[in-house]
Amino acid sequence: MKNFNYIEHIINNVVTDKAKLQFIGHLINDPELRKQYRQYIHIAEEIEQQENIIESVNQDLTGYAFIIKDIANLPDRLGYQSDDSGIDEVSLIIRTVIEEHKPSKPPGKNGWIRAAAVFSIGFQIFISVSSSATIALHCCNPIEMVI
Amino acid sequence: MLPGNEVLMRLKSRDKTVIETIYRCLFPSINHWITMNSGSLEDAEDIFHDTLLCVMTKLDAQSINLTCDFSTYFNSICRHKWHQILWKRKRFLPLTVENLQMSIDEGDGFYDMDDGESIEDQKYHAFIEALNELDPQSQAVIEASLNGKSNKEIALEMGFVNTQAVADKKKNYKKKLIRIISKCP
Repeated sequence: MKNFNYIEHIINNVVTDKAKLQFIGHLINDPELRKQYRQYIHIAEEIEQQENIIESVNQDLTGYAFIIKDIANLPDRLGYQSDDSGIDEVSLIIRTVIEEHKPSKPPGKNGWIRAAAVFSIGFQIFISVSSSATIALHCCNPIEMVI
Repeated sequence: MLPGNEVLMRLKSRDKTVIETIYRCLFPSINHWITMNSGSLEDAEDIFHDTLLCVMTKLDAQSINLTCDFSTYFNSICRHKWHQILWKRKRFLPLTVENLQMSIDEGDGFYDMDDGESIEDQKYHAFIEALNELDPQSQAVIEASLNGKSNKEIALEMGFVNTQAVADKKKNYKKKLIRIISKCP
């Protein structure tokens, strides 16, 4: 970028008002500088956005550390087409293994619903028994109880 | 678990038993970690599948030189891949008719998957590649910062004079990043 140093200097360093006004003048008159300035700002915003997203993903994850070298060297499927028979064959083998060894499903939702229903019925019985016991105690005259 | 190099050798020869061994040994911990981190069993299966597929296809193209245990290597890839999935979920708007229309109108390529990789993916990869080109000290500062550490913590851990020095370092690496990315096609 031809005007990179100039744009970087104006944006990042402390400059005089005169220099700023001069820069604005150049921006108005030089379409190339305007285009490069826009590009600079766009890249800076993009970097900011990427950092924010990655930071927020990292915050949500437990037991994870963002390591640049590892991420940059992640193996991918570059050079392989989706219709490559080799990749399809490998994919099928892996999927078969996953299906064959799929862990049996835990009780899941139904189990929880059933447990919640049993608990709520039990709780209601407990409440009604305890409240009738309290009423009975209140109704009884303690002196009569003693006699 | 088998020694790393033997695992790789048998993976290269498409040995189903070694895939079963990897699944039995490593899938439970991967599944546990992913379900603990906003994923499901299906997500864990997809990540396991995709990671193993990538490792096997990479083995076809070139050899993998393991510098750690195979399980550490595999787990690390799975975690980074899950990180990428979560990045995509945050970055991309949920696919609705309105969002798709907006994307077409603005021409931002959010859902432009013609060449197998969206513009957003390309931006992400350009960003990661740019980070990878920085000097080790800048990388360490960025990693610490992206992993949630404050300037004070970074200064203490990396021996910077004060938090201002860390802030200056961050400012400098951003300038470098902009330079690197601006050279990308």
